[in-house]
Formats: sequence, C-alpha cells, structure tokens
Amino acid sequence: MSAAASTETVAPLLSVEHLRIVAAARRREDLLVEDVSFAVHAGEFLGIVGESGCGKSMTALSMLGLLPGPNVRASGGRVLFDGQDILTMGGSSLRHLRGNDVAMIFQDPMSSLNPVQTIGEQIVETILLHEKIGRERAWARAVELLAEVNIPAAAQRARDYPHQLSGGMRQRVMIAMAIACKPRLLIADEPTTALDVTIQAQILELLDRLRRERGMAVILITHDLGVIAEYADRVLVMYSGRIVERAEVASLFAQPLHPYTHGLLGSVPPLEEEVDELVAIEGQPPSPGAWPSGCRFQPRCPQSRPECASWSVRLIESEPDHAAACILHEHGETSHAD
Amino acid sequence: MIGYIMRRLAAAVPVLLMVSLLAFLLMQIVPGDPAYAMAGSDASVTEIEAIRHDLGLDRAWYLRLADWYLALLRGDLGHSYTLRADVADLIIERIPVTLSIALYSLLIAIPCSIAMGIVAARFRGKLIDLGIMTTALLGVSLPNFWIGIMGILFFSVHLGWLPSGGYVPMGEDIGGWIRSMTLPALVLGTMQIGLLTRITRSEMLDIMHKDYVRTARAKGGSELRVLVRHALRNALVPIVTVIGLLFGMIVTGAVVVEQVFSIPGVGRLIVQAILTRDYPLIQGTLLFVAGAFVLINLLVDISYAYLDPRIRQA
Ligand SMILES: Nc1ncnc2c1ncn2[C@@H]1O[C@H](COP(=O)(O)OP(=O)(O)OP(=O)(O)O)[C@@H](O)[C@H]1O
Ligand code: SF4
Ligand SMILES: [Mg+2]
Repeated sequence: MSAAASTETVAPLLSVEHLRIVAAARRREDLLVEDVSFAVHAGEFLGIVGESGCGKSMTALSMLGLLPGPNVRASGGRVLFDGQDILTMGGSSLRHLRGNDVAMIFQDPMSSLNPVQTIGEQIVETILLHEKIGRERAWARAVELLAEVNIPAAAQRARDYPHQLSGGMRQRVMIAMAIACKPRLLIADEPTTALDVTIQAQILELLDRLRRERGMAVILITHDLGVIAEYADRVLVMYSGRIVERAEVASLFAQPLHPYTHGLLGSVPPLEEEVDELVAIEGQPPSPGAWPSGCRFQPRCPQSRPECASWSVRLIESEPDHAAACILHEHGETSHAD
Repeated sequence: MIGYIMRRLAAAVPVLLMVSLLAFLLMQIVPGDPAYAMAGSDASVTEIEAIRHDLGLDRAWYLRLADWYLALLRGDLGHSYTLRADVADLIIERIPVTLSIALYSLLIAIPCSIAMGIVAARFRGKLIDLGIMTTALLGVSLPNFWIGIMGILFFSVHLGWLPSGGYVPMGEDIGGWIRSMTLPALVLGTMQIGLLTRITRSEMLDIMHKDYVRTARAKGGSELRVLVRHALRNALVPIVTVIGLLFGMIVTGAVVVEQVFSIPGVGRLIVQAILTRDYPLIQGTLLFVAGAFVLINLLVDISYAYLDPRIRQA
C-alpha cells in the first residue's frame, strides 16, 4: 500500500530483529517466540494474526519491555525503536518510552483500568508522568481526549469510576489514555475481543482515524482476518512462535503462500465476509515445549512431506514484500492446489 | 450514611446486652466471692455475711441482674466494690492510657508491615522475602509476655534507654510519656506486624498480576508508583479488614502488656476486677470492650466505602 511503498527508504520506526523469547519452566526453558523479524514505519497499520498461544502478545509486550517476569524473558535478538534497543534499555529510558513513545491497549477493558481511580485521574496520571504541566491543564487535556475518542459528556464522565462505564466506553478510555502523550506507535492487543460486534467496528474505526490524523503507527493483534483485510496495510501471520508469512494485505488475500495461511483463509472468501474464530484448520497448535522439529505446522499441514521435519525453517521471499516459511517455496512451487 | 450508622448502632444494642448477660452468668458459675476478697483472710463468717448483705449479694441472682440492667438504662454502670468509685469513671480514666498504647502500636505496626509486605511480595522467593516472612512468623508465634520481658532486659536493663515500666501521663511530660509507652507499644505491635505483613504480602502478590497493574507499568510509572499507587491502593480493603480484626489481639495483648509493664490501663483494670470478683467492674469493663469492638467494626465498614468506589455506589 501507499504507506509502505513511500516509506521504503526511510528508517523504520520500529524494527524487530530475530526476536527470541523464552519462558523458564522447571529445569528447562520453553521457547515461546523464535526468530521474529519485522519493521513498522510511521503511520503504518500492521496486523498480526494467528491462533491462540502462538506468541502474539509476548511479541507485543517485548516492544514495551513488559514481558511478564521473572520467568519470561527475551533471550535473543533486538527490538529497535528509533534505533534504540528496548530489550537492553535501562529503567528510566524504558519509563520514558512507555506511554510516551509506545503505548499499548489490552484485550480486556474490564480489568485493565484501576477500579479505585476515576478515569480522569488515570489519564491525568499518564500525562503528568511525561509532561511538565499543571494538574488542572492535564485534567482539561484528559477531558479533551475523552471527547476525541467519542465519549459523550466527557467532562462529567471524567469523574466516573471504571465500573460505571460499559465495556466499549472503557476501551475508549484505554485508547484515550494510550494516545494522551501522542505516542508514535500504538499497540492494540485484541482490543475488541471482549466487545460486541457493533462496538468492535466503532473502536477499530476510531483507531484508524487516530492513526490517520496523528500519523502514528498501529500494530493490531487480532484473530479476525476480516479486520485485517479492512484496516491493515501489511500483515504478519504467526504460528507456534514464528512468523510463517509476511505480506501486504492485498497480496496475502489474493495469493496466500503458506499452507497455514491458506487454511486460515479457507473459510473466508478474500476481502468479504468476516470470521470470528480461526477454525478452518483441523487439530490444535502444539504448545510451547512440544513443538516438532523442522516446520512446526507439519502435523497439521495437508501438504507436508518427509523433508519438512528436517527443514531449517526460514522466511523465503518469493515476491517483493511477500515471504513465507514453507519448504514448498524453496523449490519455486506454490501452495495452491488449484 | 448517617442513617446507616444509626441502624448499625441500633443493631449492636442486643449484642451488647447478650455480652453482659453472658458475663454475668459466667461470674455466677465461677467460684469465688467478692466478700472474701474484700474482708481479707482473717475475717469472721459474720463479717463476711455483713459485707455480702451490704453489697446485696444475698439477693437472688436474677434480681441482681435486673437491677444491673435497670441501672444501665439510666446510664449507670454501677459502683466498684473494691476501688470504691463509679465504674464508668474508672473506665474513662483509663481509656487514654490503653488507647495510647493501642494507637502507638498501630502507628509502629501499620507502616512497618505494609513496607515489609510490599518488599516481600516484590522479591517473592528471594532471600529478603524469606527473612521478612520468618520475622513475621516469629512475631505471631512468640508470646507477648516473653517479648515484653526480653524487651525490658535489652532496652531497659542492658541499654538503659527506656523505662522498664510505669506510666507517665501525656499532660505531665510528653517525652516521658513517649518513653514509657515505647516498649509496651513495640511489644504489642510485634504480633500485629506478624499478621499484617503476611496479609499485605499475599494481597500484593495477588494484585501485582492484575491487568490494571500492567496498565500502570505500560503508562511509564516507576516501580514504586506502580506498587503503591496502584497495587497497594487496591489491597487496602483487605488490609483494613485485618487491622479491624487486630483489635481483638490488641485487647488481649493490652491485658498482658499492661500487666508486664505495670501500666494503669483498661486491660489491667479487667484483670484486677476479675481477680477480686468485683462484679460491677467486670460487667462494666466487658461491656466497654464489647462496645469498642462494635465501634471498630463500624469504622472498618465505613472505611470500605471510602476506599472502594464500587462499594460506595452499591
Ligand atoms: N507468564 C507466562 N509464563 C510462561 N509461559 C507463558 C506465560 N504467559 C504466556 N505464556 C505462554 O506463552 C505462549 C505465547 O503466549 P501469548 O500470550 O503470546 O499468545 P497469544 O498469541 O497472544 O495468544 P492469544 O491469542 O490467546 O492471546 C503461550 O503458549 C502461553 O502458554
Ligand atoms: S514446510 Fe512442509 S509442513 Fe511446513 S507448511 Fe510447508 S509443506 Fe507444510
Ligand atoms: Mg494474546
């Protein structure tokens, strides 16, 4: 898309290189994320999609240095924001980054707000953490932000506690809080899963509008390919801790390269109907620690062959800006049966 | 809120009356007689009978009970046999003393245990967590009187910093008051610290993994701010509940500590009343303690509404 094409020469805002995340379990380490590399440019809308447990949230949390310690940690690679490696950042640089340059909204707006503070106070806190302005001006800003995310009667609502708001309203509050300090990157980890369908669409429209107006980059994690088709410029498909396909949205839907993506799209006519769950593929993804050697999709792959078990998995770029991690593309074949 | 408080106080009346009845009946069952205690060991039977008659103890127990309740209706707690003063005056005189130790001990216990609980939770499983939890366990399990005696040996006898007992009223000499109250308050606080540290730690461990704590981190707040402003603030309801429960511990602790440090407080008055079978004084002090329990519970419930908006608006 235009955003990606025009930023080709500009240094990316965020660049993840060979990210590897492990979880310490009793006497061993489970790999959660392996060799994940991608870049996000200013103003770009990147989608990340994949089944539950494939490492989407862990990848996202590492961009804020927020991996759930002490047992989960990044054990390799780099996460460069503006050229600075977040993984090795010290406490004060990290605090400066969080909420200020990179903001995040989470899946469950019901539990993500502090129940004993008014929503106004919670937004004010974010502002005061990063800007030297008076409390009153910060409060006025908080009210403006609430209005900007379409909360009616914002001045009164600012004095409400989270339990007085509906789920959709709370997610708007989370967004208002996230954009309070004009972050350059907003990560939304399944922001609409807990909400009903009409509210979902409103929230996504809101995110997209803010991206356009403010020129911030958005990373949206979702299970919903319909959402990806509608909003994202580029998309990463993850499976068992790896990126298995990376593409511009149009080419992903026009010509999925990886058998897993193909399966995901199986029940979705490209660019039309929406699906709520990724149920097209039979079987369950293996859990971390139980991954097969070689290609991890192999037990469920309709096109698997004996070599897949020993193949050294890597993304293979078969067109510009379209890569898949499948042995079939090493030999110039496509995964299409038709 | 006023209506709520009134209803709660009204609901407490039957409870207090029951407590009085139980205390009265218990003293009828327990052997011993105030007349013997008052007359001394070499008194004759007729002397003792005369005292019994003076005190009205020769009347049937239900008549005496009825008298006591009737007097209570007039706001009269009766007259102490042995101290020859109004029970109400005796109690009121001693409230500041016991309240001083109780509040002083809480003033030591609450900040210490909250700080220790937070540190233990934050460094869960580390050496410092183990150290804090061992200290807390010792605090709960060592008896008050033993800690008191050890405290006297160390701070009074060995170091000579603090007096080994006695009470200096606040109005007389503030410095002396503080010095006389420090050791008793420390002893009384030790046990509270044990309990409060444990509850703070477990609540913090629970809350530290909540989504809103992660949100607070994602905003760029410092670790201290995240732990105190967000996690601790949400742990306050259970912590305040336990502080309310500590009151029972403080009463029993005060009885022991006032004895060990010879401090003229309510605890010592209760012991004295029971030892001399001073029925009106026993009835009066127990009613007072029960009333204080009711009041503390009410304060705890009111503080919930203040601490948690979800309760406030329910
Ligand atoms: N605190 C933790 N300790 C150890 N393993 C964890 C922890 N949290 C998550 N995991 C594991 O890490 C893996 C990746 O989890 P992640 O939350 O990134 O998945 P996800 O792709 O976001 O899934 P979902 O769509 O369900 O949100 C999962 O298999 C999960 O079991
Ligand atoms: S590498 Fe083999 S198993 Fe894996 S997706 Fe490709 S064909 Fe299927
Ligand atoms: Mg997730």
